Formats: sequence, structure tokens, C-alpha cells
Amino acid sequence: MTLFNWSSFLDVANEIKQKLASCATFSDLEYGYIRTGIGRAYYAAYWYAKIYLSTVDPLFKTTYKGPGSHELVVDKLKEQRGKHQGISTLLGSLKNQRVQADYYNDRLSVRDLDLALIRAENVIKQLQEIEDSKS
Amino acid sequence: MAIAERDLLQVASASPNFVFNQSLARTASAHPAAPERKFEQHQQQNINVIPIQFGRMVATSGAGAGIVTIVFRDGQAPLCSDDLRQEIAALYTVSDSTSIFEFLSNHDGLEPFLIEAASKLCAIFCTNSLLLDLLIDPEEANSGRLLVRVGFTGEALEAFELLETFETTWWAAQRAEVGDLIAIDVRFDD
Repeated sequence: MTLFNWSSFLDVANEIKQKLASCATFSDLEYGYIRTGIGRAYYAAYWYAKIYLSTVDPLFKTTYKGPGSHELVVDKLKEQRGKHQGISTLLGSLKNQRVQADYYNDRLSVRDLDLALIRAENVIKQLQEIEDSKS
Repeated sequence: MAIAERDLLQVASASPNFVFNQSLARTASAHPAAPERKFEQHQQQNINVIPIQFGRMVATSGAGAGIVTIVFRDGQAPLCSDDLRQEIAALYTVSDSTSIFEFLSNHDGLEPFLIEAASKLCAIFCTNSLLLDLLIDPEEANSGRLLVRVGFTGEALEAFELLETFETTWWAAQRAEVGDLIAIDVRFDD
């Protein structure tokens, strides 16, 4: 069985952004897309970071899904040296956006989705750069 | 004894983690009109005196678990937490003041960071529009944190860059004491 590539969520979020670019008016459906896109951007970055951490720390389990599993990824990144601190901050901010998108009734805009995408892409790009520098 | 020293003593005595220092009291009280001045000698004792604005200073110990805040204004009685919260309410639109001030009561020492963050954010984002929320992730236990949001009318990339500026120029250095209890983000306005 081919494993799912979690980074595909980033493509989904980008497709949502493209779809919304042609919308002249926004209804709850479009706002729902915005919230969904923020969530997908977050999960793309979250999974990239989680799998990355399992490669630098064999004791870090990607299969753990219990309470605190999301904060654990943010905290674990923070424990690493150098650029990881900034990456942890970005992922933490993205996580906050995802919580707002899924649980809070504040009005969100396409720019919120744009910001989530920028953060997710930066998390993935910076982790890729660290991986490349090691290989 | 000068009134500022007396006031500082009162605050310090209520804070067992803080080693009271007479020199700190004298120096700080002598310079309320010189807020740019740094107090190098106190940093050797793991104490930073941070001028916030004219006639007002905040001193925090550097020990994470023992954050102690001393605030006073021109030798008057030191600002108590109610004063600090009034200041916060003046700087921020506080979405749910009961919950937020309860959160501040349960997490000592965050008020000075909120107050100073406001001035830094306003300078970087060129706005006075600041919102203070309490963000709770229902999927995570004990996940409550304060969320400062800066009203911003620009595009996402510009917001991202300005947040990075805030992070690298000031906020990153505060994380040792603030931890994850305060998060900073933007709120996109029309």
C-alpha cells in the first residue's frame, strides 16, 4: 500500500485558494472553504514536522495520537537547536490559526488562508533545508 | 526611607522568589525621568529593569518560575495588578475580560509583557488596533493562552514579515519567561 503523502494537504489548501480567487461574493460556503484550507495547511506542516522529528529522534513516535500530540510536535521542535526555534514558532502560530478556524466564530478572510499557507510553506521549506544540509 | 523604596519593599515581601535589593530601589526611583537608561549592575544579579514609558518602570527577575514584577510610577504607590489590568484594558480591546483577567490571575507576571508588547507591536505595525483574546484548544488539555492580535489592513505576506520582525527584534527574547502563555498574530481588517 502506498503511504499517503501528507504534504498533499498543502496542494489542497492551495487549490482552495485558487478557487476562492475567482469568487466575487462570499457566502458561508466560501468561508467554509477558507476554514478548511487553513486546517489543511496546518496538517501539511504538522505532519511534515512530525515525520521529520521521528528521523532526528528515533524515540519520537509518529503513531502517537493521544492528548497533547499536536503541542508535543511544537515543543519537540523547540527543543532542537538553531532554526528549529523559529520553525516551532511558525507551527505554533499555524496551530492557533487552525484552532480558530475549527472552533471560533470570528470572521476569517482569504488573507487568513494566505497567511496559513505562507506559514505552512515556510515550515516545510525550512525543515527541507535542514534535511538537505545533513545529506 | 524614600516612598519608592518602601513601596518596593512591600511588593518584594509578597514575593518570596525575589531577592530585594536596596540599590535597585534607589536606582530605579532616581531615574523615572530617564526611561532609556539601562541598569547594567542589576543584570549581574539576574534582574532586568525595563523602562516602559516616562515615569514608569518594570523590574522582573530572570528566573522563569520566580517571575516577580515591580511597577511604580514616579515614587507613588506601586502599581498593583488592578492598575496593570486597567493599563491593559486601555491598550487592548479585551474580548472577554472576566476570563482573560482570571487567566492573568492564574499566571503571574504576564501583564508587563502585554504592556510592553503593545508598544512594540504598535510601532512595528503602525496601528493602535490591538485585540486580546483567550484561545483554548478543546482538543488539548491545559491549552489556554492569551492571543494578542494586531489589527492589520495589508496583505498576508506583509503581515508575515512584520510578525517576523516583531519576533526577531524583541519577542523571541521574552519567550524564556512568557513561554507559550502569550501568542501573537494579526487580525485582518477591511
